[in-house]
Amino acid sequence: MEDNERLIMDFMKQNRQDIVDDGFTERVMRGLPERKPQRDWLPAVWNGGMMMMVIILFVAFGGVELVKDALIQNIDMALAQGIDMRVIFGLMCAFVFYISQRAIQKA
Amino acid sequence: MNSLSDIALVTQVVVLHNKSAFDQLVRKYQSQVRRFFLNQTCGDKELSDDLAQDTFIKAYTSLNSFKGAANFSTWLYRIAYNVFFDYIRSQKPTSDLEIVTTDAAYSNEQQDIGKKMDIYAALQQLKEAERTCITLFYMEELEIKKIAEITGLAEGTVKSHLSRGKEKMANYLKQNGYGR
Repeated sequence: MEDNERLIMDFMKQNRQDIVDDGFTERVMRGLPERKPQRDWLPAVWNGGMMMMVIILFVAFGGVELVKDALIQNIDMALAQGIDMRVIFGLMCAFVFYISQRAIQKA
Repeated sequence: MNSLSDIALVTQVVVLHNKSAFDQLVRKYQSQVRRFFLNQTCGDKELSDDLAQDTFIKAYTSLNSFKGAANFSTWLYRIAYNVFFDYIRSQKPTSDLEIVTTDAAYSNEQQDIGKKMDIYAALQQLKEAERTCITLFYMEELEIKKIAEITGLAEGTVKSHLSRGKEKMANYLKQNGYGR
């Protein structure tokens, strides 16, 4: 087995030839099609711009205050009805985990 | 270092549409790609050059899909392998690739006898998959893992092809006066 290995290795090395270009590259370059210009950045720029606009409008029209008030109101109501804060915290953690998993999957 | 310069050249082609960067890549890899095809076709120079040209054109058009996770060389071999097997399939649409050995149709009528004739005659003893594994392993000195990556075969299958190919080739070489 060792002999076979050595025999083939030597034979292959002896027959390994470097091929001179001899105009091959030029023929390939002449045959290349035109590359279509990449437009990959367009959707990314569009999405980014839209996202920025949504955030600006959200802040400008008092969205942050609105969400904060609603959250406080809901927590007050929950406390008034005797719901354990740990349950709310657990649910919020689960929600954040779910959202982050979705984001990772999308990425 | 090599792969870094390859990635730099690929980036220049993809982002800046710099054709001369691709020219450098073709010059760098033409020998190994053409040698790969010469071995697979058992010495048919014209066919090898046509397939090598197809390979580089395919590489150029799908350069965006090269993510740099593999070597550029491995990525190129994978395209070359697919180009060759697409060609084989187009020639033999109904036959099973695994059981077909190369017939004389793929073999060039060599003008010169001697060394070259011997290597191609020896390679002709092998099935296509065996020939691919043997040449990539012994001539191009690629690891089994890389060969598996190029061919899409499991590492165990590559090892089996290597083992069978090695036995056939050694027998042929011994019958023809080598290793004495």
